[in-house]
Amino acid sequence: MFSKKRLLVAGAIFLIVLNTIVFSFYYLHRPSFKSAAVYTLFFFLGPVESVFSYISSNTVDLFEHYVFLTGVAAENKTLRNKLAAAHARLGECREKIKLYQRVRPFADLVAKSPDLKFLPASIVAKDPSPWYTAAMINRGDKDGIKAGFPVLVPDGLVGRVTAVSYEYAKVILITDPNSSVDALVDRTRARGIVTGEGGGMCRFDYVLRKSDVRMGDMVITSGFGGIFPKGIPIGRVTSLIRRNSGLFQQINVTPCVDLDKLEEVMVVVNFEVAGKFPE
Amino acid sequence: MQIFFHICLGILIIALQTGASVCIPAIARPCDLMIPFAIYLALYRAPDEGLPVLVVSGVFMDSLSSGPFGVFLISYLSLFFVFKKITRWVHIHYAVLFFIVSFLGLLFENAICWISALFSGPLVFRPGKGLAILAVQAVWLIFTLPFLFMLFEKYFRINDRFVSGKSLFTIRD
Repeated sequence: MFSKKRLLVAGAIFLIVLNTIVFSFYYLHRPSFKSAAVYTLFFFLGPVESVFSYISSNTVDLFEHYVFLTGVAAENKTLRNKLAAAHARLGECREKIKLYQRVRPFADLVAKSPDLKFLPASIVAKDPSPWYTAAMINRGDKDGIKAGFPVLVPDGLVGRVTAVSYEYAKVILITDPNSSVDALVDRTRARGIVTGEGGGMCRFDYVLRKSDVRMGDMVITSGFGGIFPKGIPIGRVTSLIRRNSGLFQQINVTPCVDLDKLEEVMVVVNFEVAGKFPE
Repeated sequence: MQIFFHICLGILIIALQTGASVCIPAIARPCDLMIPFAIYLALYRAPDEGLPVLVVSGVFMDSLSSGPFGVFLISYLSLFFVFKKITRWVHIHYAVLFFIVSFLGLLFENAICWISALFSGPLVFRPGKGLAILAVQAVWLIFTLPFLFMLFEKYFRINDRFVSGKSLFTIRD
């Protein structure tokens, strides 16, 4: 009725199904066998796997942090160079901003004084003596500088040129004891002579006792004598003594210009000096 | 030839102190660095070497200063002659004494400035201000003197070897 081949196939299917059912029932009733096998397997394999895992992760780290870093070192060097260049550029920009901030008022001064011709100059040296205050500027005979030329900054009067060489000139500052400037009180037009005191201060001499001078008054150049142009700020009255006797008041003037921090100045090169300056 | 080099050193010192003083406020103005040089020349060098250097340096300093002409020249020459004379009676050739003598030189130069201010110039002499200037200069001298002394020692050693035709630098075993 059935061929031999069909009987074999049916027997095989039957055995597989039976086997599956028997094993299913077997494990269903005895689950600890699998757990014990897995436990035993993990007990032996776990440390080995840990070692392999440790080695593999460190190998990856080794490659990431050392072997692959040969390129990073070069990149680091390039970035450092770029950073240094950026820092240098930043420094230059900051210096240019400072220079611009310093020079801008000079441009305003030139614009405000169309009649005067200015020549910018830098201070290159100062008087070696602590008793006197002169400065050397990097403009001289070749630039058309002559003795007696007034020297200004936007804040006010600095001094005047006293000696000239081919490339440099000596400027006597208004605080020098040898300096005298004919001056006026801006508010009341009281006249006097501003003389240097050598310590960053000036005296305002020969101001009559009856003249109205108050603390904080601005003192400007009078323009008399033709040494300095008229109306340049010199300083402010910071101390004042008016005695009951005597002809004149004792007045101290603090210069408008911080002469200690001078870096750039303007020399007025077209101002007619009335008399020849005694060199 | 060696006097030319000495003069160059003097001018270098003057240029240094006048150029550097642009950045230093007037209240902290350094001492005259030529004082130790003048004293060094007086103590350790012959007059025919020292005098020309001090004359040129003095004229340079007076030209740069707006004070009365001759103050620095007189100061240097006076320092030279006074300390040259003192070395005949007192043995002050030790490095430590050089420091003390330099302070005396500083006092001496300031005294000459004060005298010139009192008698000739329009400078208003104020003892308080004068003492403040002197104190600041003394502090500067304390810090600059060791370096200057080493500079002078080294310079004159090389100079002497150059003049005597030996190798400029000593080779140590």
